[in-house]
Amino acid sequence: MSLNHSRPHVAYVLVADFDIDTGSVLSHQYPCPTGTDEQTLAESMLPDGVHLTSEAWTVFFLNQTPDSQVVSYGEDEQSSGSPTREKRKDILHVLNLVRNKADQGVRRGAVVKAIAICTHLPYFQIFKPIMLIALDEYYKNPTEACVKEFYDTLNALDLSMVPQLTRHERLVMRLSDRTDIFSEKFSRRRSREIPGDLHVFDAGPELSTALNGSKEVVNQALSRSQSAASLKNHRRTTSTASGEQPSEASHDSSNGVIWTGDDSSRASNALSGLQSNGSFDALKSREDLLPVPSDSSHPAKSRIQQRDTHFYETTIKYANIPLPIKIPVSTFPEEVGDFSLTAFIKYLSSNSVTVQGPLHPQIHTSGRQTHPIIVIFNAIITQKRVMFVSKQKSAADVSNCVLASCAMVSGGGCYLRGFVERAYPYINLATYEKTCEKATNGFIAGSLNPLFAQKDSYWDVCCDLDLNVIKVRSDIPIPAPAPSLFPIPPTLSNPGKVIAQAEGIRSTQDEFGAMGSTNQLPQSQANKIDYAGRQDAYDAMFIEELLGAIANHVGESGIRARFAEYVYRFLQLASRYEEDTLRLTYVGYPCAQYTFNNRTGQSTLGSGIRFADEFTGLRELSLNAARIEGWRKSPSYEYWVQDFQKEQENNPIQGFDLEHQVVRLRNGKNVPEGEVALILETMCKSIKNYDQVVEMLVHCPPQQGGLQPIAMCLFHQQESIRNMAVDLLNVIRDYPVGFQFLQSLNQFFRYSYIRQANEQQQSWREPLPNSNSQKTPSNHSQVSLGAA
Amino acid sequence: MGANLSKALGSCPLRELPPVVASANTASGPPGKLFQSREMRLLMLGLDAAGKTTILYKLKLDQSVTTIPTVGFNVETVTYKNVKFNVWDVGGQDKIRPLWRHYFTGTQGLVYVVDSCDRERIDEARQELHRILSDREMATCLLLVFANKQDLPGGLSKHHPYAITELTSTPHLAMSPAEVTEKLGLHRMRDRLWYVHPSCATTGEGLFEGLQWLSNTVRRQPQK
Repeated sequence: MSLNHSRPHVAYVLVADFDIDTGSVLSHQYPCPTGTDEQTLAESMLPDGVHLTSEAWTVFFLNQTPDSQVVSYGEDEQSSGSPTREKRKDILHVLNLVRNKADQGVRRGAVVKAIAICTHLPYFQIFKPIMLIALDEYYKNPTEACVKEFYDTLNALDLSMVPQLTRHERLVMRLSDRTDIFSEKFSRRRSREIPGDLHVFDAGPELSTALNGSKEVVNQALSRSQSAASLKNHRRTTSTASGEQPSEASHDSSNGVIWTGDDSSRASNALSGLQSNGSFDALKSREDLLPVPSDSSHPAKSRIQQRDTHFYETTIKYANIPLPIKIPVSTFPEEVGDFSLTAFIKYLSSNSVTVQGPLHPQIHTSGRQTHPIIVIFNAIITQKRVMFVSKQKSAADVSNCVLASCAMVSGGGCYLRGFVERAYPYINLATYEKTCEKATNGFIAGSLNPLFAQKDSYWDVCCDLDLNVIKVRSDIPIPAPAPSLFPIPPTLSNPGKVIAQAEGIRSTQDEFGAMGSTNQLPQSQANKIDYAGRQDAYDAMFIEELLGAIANHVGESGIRARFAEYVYRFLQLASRYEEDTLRLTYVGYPCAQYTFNNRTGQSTLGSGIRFADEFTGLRELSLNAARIEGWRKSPSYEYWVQDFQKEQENNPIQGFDLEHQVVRLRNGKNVPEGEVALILETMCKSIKNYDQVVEMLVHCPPQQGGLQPIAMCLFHQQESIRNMAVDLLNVIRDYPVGFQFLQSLNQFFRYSYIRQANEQQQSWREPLPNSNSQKTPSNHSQVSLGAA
Repeated sequence: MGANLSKALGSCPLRELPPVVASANTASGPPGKLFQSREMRLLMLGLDAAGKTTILYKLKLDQSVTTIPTVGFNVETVTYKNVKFNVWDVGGQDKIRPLWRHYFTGTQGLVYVVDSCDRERIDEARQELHRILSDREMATCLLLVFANKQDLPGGLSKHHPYAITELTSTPHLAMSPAEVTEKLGLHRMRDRLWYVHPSCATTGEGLFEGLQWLSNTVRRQPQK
């Protein structure tokens, strides 16, 4: 999602009217015609039933089908890029606002107008306030000049200061609740910007008078800009007060300033919980050892406060009104718009939602017990035609269901892609014909026309948001895994193993056999019974945990993170499945366990998924086989194969399955000492620079204890392992973000780390032979007894 | 089939309709239960500004609502004499008429609304009606035509809203149901049950009589 400065943020502005004689008409396209069918655009911009509401937001996309390809970005548009840029087929997101204004002065009593922006930015919601005002302006002055002004204002927005985070940085930021994470990325940029942007807030009070059409947003805008103004004033005073005396300023912690670069302040912060003179000294001396981070900025600058570093805040001035804009910094392209995945999950898991229709092996992975969330997940990942239909809800609601489900299946946007490109957040009959009807890879669509819910020829799975019913079409073809290509996995066909598991769970072989024979007798009673009774324990557990998280008010990012985990596990399963059926996998690390060869003394790390025991693993695989097969035939599979390949080539940490190792340290029971040693040794070897540290942190999400798996090794009985853990934490600590992760460890861990780091350093000072070399494991050393 | 019905045409049949029929049929034998709460799917079409939405909400709410052009459609369930009418009212602007066909499947009755005052466009209305009825999905459906806006003086066209159209049509009354029948070419329709009824959407006159005809007739039809 790299921002491309050479192309405009908003490629087109469109305006549509509902003509009472002829219907929907597209009245303006700026800067040039999009090249797609004007009638279709107009139909999409004026949603069904808008005559019953006063205002509605809809979302739809361009560049999805051959019909909806936009032409080049216009010759009369200076900032537009080179011809190569025009060839790009990136999805163009269209955010549309339609308003229905009663006006007794006109024939038939109302004027319906809509304004839309076409942008490549997935976070187009930032433009909502300005669109509300723009539509008002257009009602007053329905000319092209008005449209042009709007277009120019949007594209004058300077996004060059938005921090560009790498994929791993984004992942770390998403998982962190800290509002100061990666603040160093902002500090350097923000400091440059202070003098220039204060004046825009002078216009604050006139806001309320300038507008009456869209009070809500204006109020919001007003309060935001006021608070922003006060923040800026505060910033100005603090920065003048502290002036060029960083040391004074950096010790003033009253206003929650965090320390990003200054080492002395970091030290006091790290110690804040310890309250011990001894360790303070220890740490002080430790400080000399630590190199000052390369990007350590001037403390006065780093003090500049970004309220929440998950967003980049700026303003845009339109019609003399400064509007605050909050740009999310850590989202991925599959997260489009401002949907709430939490709300979507809450809805699907409310008791009133029922699933109807016949069972399908790819969709009902736990038979009748399959949770609605999983039904939707499976339907999308196996590229079924999925529709969300409601008459009572607004167009924005159905759009959000579509966008939320895309994000859900892509793993909160983190892993898979290819869903947004076949999503149609808002369709009506007119656009259905032109888009979905032709879609060969399934689609995810939302509509306000209940007609869609009534006829199952339109969809495979339909979620009726009014009746709270998820309907599954009766005659979805049941695709068969080609038996020649996908034989029963060798491990499963091993009779000894299966028989050993005996009768209770009528053997996995049966289930796989059923999968294999589904092609012959898709509707047979036997098969139905077969998967009606199955239940995927992992899925059930996942849903339970997810709902627990929502009940505990875990935030939106936390919920998305849960889906990221879920999808990651799905990918691991898929990889294992490929290994079992094809003996080769393109989608993950091959499954292996840690091995130690007694003769050669060589050991290798494990990788891939690890089940509690082989049998549960096989059972889970067999339950997942159908949907994995379905996914393997979808474009999203192709994308992932490419992405995984690219990731393996470009990841800063190379050569082993990092996630597997962290999970071993975090969850493994009776992990052999040799394995722990090898894991830490490998990590120490391959984690040296900033990018590598960040990648490491991706695998240590705060929700799962952060760096705890590493910190636990500080208490290992082998001194060499303890030392390696200290070394690793030292490296991590060198970078502001790593320092924050260390801070979030509990006091016990931190204390122990500081003490050991200090000891290690002292032992280095009195030049001991080699503290990092293999020492005899000692249970009786001072350190492991905890005597300081 | 159409013969006995066309008798009812022409003269204003408001009072001449047979009285409520439901009792006779429901009382007779086993199918009685089936009739207790029947559902009927109606599709209401017509040129723009014919009064479809006004009719729908008059039926639903018994109120004369001021409507604005329908974007897309409206759908409401109207219960009348134990029959649930599921009425789809679809916008009539010419660009969206091609979409009407999506609503055809499962339609038991077509309610075609004609603006009796709009003589200019009655021919357009005829063409659209015939186009609809030629669709395979509509082969068996009943046709109810509301000759709407009987209360207004004729000759007002939507293109000249408040002026009487010039020369060709001197001011006169709205088209009578018979005239509408004639102009729509209904007499040539042999194998369809149809019925034209005068109506006034704002007062509600004639609307329920139309529904009455539909509910009576649909039950006499052989089941598919």
